[in-house]
Amino acid sequence: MSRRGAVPLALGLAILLAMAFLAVAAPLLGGDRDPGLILPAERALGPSFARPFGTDLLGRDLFTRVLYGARVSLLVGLGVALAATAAGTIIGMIAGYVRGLDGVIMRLIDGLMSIPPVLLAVTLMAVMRGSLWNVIAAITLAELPRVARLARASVQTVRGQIFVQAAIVSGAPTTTILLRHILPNIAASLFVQASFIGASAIMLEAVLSFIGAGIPPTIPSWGNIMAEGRSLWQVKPHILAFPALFLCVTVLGVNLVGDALRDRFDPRGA
Amino acid sequence: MLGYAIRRIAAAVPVAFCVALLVFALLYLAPGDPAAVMAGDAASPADIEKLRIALGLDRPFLERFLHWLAGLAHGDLGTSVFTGLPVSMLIGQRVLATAMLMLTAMLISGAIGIPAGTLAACRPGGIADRAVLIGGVLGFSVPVFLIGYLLAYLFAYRLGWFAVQGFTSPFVDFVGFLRTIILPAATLAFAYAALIARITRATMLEILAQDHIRTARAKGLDEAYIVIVHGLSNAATPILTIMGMGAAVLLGGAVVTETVFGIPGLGRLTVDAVLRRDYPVIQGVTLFLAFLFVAINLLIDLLCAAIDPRVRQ
Amino acid sequence: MPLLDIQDLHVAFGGLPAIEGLSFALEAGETLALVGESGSGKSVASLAMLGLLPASARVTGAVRLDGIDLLTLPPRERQLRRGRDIAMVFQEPMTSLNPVLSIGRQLIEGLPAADRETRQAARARATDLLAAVGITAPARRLDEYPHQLSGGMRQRVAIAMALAGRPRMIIADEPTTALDVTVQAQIVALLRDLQEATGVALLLISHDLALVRQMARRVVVLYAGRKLEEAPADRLFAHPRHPYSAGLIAAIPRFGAGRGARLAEIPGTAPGLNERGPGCVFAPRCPQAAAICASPPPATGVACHFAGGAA
Repeated sequence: MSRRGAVPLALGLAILLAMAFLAVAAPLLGGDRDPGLILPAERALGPSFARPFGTDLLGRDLFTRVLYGARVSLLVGLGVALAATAAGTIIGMIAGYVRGLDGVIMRLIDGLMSIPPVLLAVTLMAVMRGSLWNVIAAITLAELPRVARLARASVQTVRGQIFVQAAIVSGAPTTTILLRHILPNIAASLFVQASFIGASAIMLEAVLSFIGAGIPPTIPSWGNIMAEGRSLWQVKPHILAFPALFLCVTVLGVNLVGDALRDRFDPRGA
Repeated sequence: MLGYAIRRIAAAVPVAFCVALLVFALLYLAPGDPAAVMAGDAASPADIEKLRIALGLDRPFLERFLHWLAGLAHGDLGTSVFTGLPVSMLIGQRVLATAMLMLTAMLISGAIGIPAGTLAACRPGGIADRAVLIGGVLGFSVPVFLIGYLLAYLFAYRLGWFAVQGFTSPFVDFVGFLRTIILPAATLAFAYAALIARITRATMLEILAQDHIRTARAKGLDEAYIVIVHGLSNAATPILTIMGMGAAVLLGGAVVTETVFGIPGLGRLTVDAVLRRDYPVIQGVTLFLAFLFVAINLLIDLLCAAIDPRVRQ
Repeated sequence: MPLLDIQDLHVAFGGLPAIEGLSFALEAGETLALVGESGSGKSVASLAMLGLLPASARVTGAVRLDGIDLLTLPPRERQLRRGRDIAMVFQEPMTSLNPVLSIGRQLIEGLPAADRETRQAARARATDLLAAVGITAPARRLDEYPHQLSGGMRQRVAIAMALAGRPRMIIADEPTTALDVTVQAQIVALLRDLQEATGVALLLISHDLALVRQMARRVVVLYAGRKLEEAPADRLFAHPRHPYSAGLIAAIPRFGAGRGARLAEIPGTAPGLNERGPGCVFAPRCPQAAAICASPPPATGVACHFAGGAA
């Protein structure tokens, strides 16, 4: 890899490792504080030595809550990246390989892509009860069309190549061709795409929770914390600022890793 | 050109139908009973059943879908459960603010993104190039809330240059309009401008290396003329196409931006409807915005065909 | 004074020499051919004359047009001379025209200000140019786009564009290589007719010796960035003095207009940019190579230690 790409990659990985550490170690780092512990006497305090991020409107410790929020964000990012990539790849491979289904599947995918992801996820959350798993499911559905399109396009490119044609002619079963010959050749671009989907999912979860259509308010997520700080953003900006900053840094980390992966594995990808 | 326009519009019809089907089916298939959610936790099973019948939720899928579709054909998007007003009327009241927000954001992003990306491509490794690369990463990483609140805090709350909240129609008070629209539009433009700058840079790098640019230079043309007329005319199609796809970023961002800046637009309408579980409104607004997205991309395809004769073939 | 006088031109990319000490002159109205294989530096030389090489290229020496050294001119003045004094026709007609601008627009933008005082005058001049290169229904073609034309037609348009600036010389870089054989003959005839009609000087850059024989009065043979021999065409083809020239000419098919493996008959390949020593660059492939060839060949005349005796 070029030196130019090495620094951002290292930075991105360092950010993600740090976030993962904070998320796992939240109960230890947050002291003996429960992220849900309400202390009415300590409402909306600014940052101080004892409480580095201050407290929210109910007197809950923001540092602890932001650390716990990392758990939600990383889980959503990873969960959606895996689920959307897996489902999208299967759909895209079927569309790209089985000519008869291509038209129908791609019309539906086009239709799904016409609904902006945020809107699609918000709409889905309206009918589902707010829970972590439902949020992951809704965002997965919103991100899935992008993967399906990429997978289909990649399959169509690869299936025209000689070695795949040879495998088809030699009578190899379709599943063997798809899994042995095609999947390994499109895996790199899907992997790169998965990282960007992870970044987008983390952002989307925060948006959903911020507007009140995401994770239940009882679970501290960055979007939820920001939603609580919304009404007092002029006078108590710290409630918004810390989760927003963590969100920003985390997404930046994922994007840096994604960019580096793309430069390395898929330089033609835009 | 006319032939292409007709073919392209005809191709948009099945997509629009699929969108309608999906919007309807998603709310139908999603695990959850709209009637139960709407009625609230305190409602008795009998109340829920009554609501279900009132909403027509007891009818089979196809019948409900066709009924809904027939309504759509007449511009009837249903009636808001919460306000009792027609959804089309609610959309009509809100559409101006969102349209102005998106249009202003598009103007700002284009005015920044296209020159920045072009400069970056003209001088690889230069200041503009670095700015576009860094801006590209930041644009996709900094959440809309953060930019929105940051801009609002600095320029509206602290400096008082702009309005903190609300929206004024440009047809009522243009200065007031600018005072309310610039910050949210700039917020929304951030990611979109990064996207445009990035694609402009990549496309222009490719085009400026093409043979016909060398021909243009051999003719003794001005370098600025070559870059703008010969370069950008070739780059227009990919840039516009990405702008069209990226309109999803704008539409999604509008939901957040309108919340942050208290703008009574379609994004805010969606959020309120979601919080109130006002299904007809959710369905109507989602469909409207999806159609808007399809229409924007249709328009952009026609624009590309007008610019690039090869597309028309 | 010759129209174009190139003295000791050197071009290097990243310290590696692409052209070393190239000198030749072109008289007004004359046709000179610059002959060499791909990689010999002939296209680099033409781009260096126009000042179209990337900024990373180091160009030294002198390219004098009417006694004025183009290499020392400020970029802006040099730009104004492109197309007006020296115009260029490129090899690849499929890609050398802008696909999204109409033929008329691309012709008109290259006209001198005097030729486009009004829209009508500009269109009339553009129509004349298309007619001059033998395009039928020229007025209608102005509003068409390159993809609507065949390769031969596009090359005619490219030639019309080169003529648009009323240049005194045209550099034609492999103008027929990308075309079908029958179309090649038409383009050759066109270039000759135009030269007779307008008196424009032609610097023909080619690896196609059959074409060179038809068109050029004098020939410069270029190999691995160095000039090996310069001679009037008649004499070169009858009595090549450099072994490389002899090899090239021996490889011309004796009958038929076929193209193909002419150069493959000299064994080996030309040295890369980083493989060129001070001695004769052709020595590794030369049937006459001897120990003396490791020392620099004569700087004037034919660049061969044996040229005197071998002639």
